[in-house]
Amino acid sequence: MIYYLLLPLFCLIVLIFQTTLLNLLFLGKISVEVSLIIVVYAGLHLDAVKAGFLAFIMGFILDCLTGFVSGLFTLYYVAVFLVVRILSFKVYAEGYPFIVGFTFIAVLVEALFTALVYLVFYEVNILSGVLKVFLAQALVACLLSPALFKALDRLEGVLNVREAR
Amino acid sequence: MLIPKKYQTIGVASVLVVASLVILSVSLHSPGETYFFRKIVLEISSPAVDAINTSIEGVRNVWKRYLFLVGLEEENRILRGRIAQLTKGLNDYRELYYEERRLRGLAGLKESAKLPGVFCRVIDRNNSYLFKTIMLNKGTSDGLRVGLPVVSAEGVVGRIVEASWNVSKVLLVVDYNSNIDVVTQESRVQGILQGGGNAGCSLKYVERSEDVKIGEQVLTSGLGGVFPKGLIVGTVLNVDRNVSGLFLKVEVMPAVRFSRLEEVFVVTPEKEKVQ
Repeated sequence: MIYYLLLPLFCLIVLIFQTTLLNLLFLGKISVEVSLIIVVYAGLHLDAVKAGFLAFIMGFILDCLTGFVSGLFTLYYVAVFLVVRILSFKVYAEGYPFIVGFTFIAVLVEALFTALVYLVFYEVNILSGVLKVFLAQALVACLLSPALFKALDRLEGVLNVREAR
Repeated sequence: MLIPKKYQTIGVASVLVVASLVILSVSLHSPGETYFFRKIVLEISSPAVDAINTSIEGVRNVWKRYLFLVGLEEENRILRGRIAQLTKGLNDYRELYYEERRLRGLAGLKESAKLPGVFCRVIDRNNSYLFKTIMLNKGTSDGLRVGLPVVSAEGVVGRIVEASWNVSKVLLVVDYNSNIDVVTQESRVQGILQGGGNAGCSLKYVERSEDVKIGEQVLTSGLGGVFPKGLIVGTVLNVDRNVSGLFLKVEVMPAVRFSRLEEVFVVTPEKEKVQ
């Protein structure tokens, strides 16, 4: 129960860190989505309910803080959780090649998804510009993901929230 | 959990996807509204964001002002300390002087255009590729609401897209979602100014036969009911006539330097005059 009470606070802290300090670290040129890496991690390590709620809350707060349309990141993060969950049953998903590869693809697909929403609902084509920026973001995020997975492993050990498989 | 473990992922994901789609659908169908949970998140996060940004600014100032004092000779250290103190004092006065100038500029705008409204401080900026917004330190409790125009002494900044009780989010004119009805000052050509992200803005729906001049100013037309007529939005940077189609490609440089915005003025309707 304590997990669900602390979850919004945890997500808020992560996202404030992501949108302020981390943004500053990369000089505002690219925004590294630590939140997305955490969703991938949760999909692989936590039980379905805990991981699903984490993805949902993380996406919703990200929508509130940065997004213009509510539900955009919420939907995408839940989709990422679902895909990583299904893949973890089919392939060996604990290795770093999978984590790095999946993070890279997830950030790029996010760009395509956002561009598609803009094109359909606002009739603005932002794909060419978005791809360049998101390619850089995807590279940084996927390179950071192994280190972040290690850190989250330690945090998880302290909090004792891992799924009993 | 009532669902067998085998189907838990699909079950949980289905519920959450439906919930996300409901949120997305509601948001897309009523884009002008700020919902309760969004307000809560904005209210909770804004003090933290403000504190972090202020701290960063403080560290940055200390870094800039004192970095070169480290490692000097003992004899010079006292003198440099004194200089640093004086510099800080001078800088404080200078900050006050520039702040007063900015506020005078805004007040001048308010007086000259007879605009009623509220002065606000910028507490956060979102300058990512997709979203160009700023956060203000005032909200609905100060009379602000969604849709109100935001200006600075330099020109139009944007409009409020979300208003919580004590904070508001402003969509800048350079955001892809921003569309403003404008008119060029000399040639009186009307068009829609659309945000173009980092590329500035572009003037849409200007017919090829129109004589738009490079360097002329772009003003709000007053149509559309959001922005008062005659506010400066930007300057025509380039006019490309070698494009296919019915319309010209007109690039506009915004009048406001968004990265340097510190105070802004939110124009409120006459009857809701607050300050």
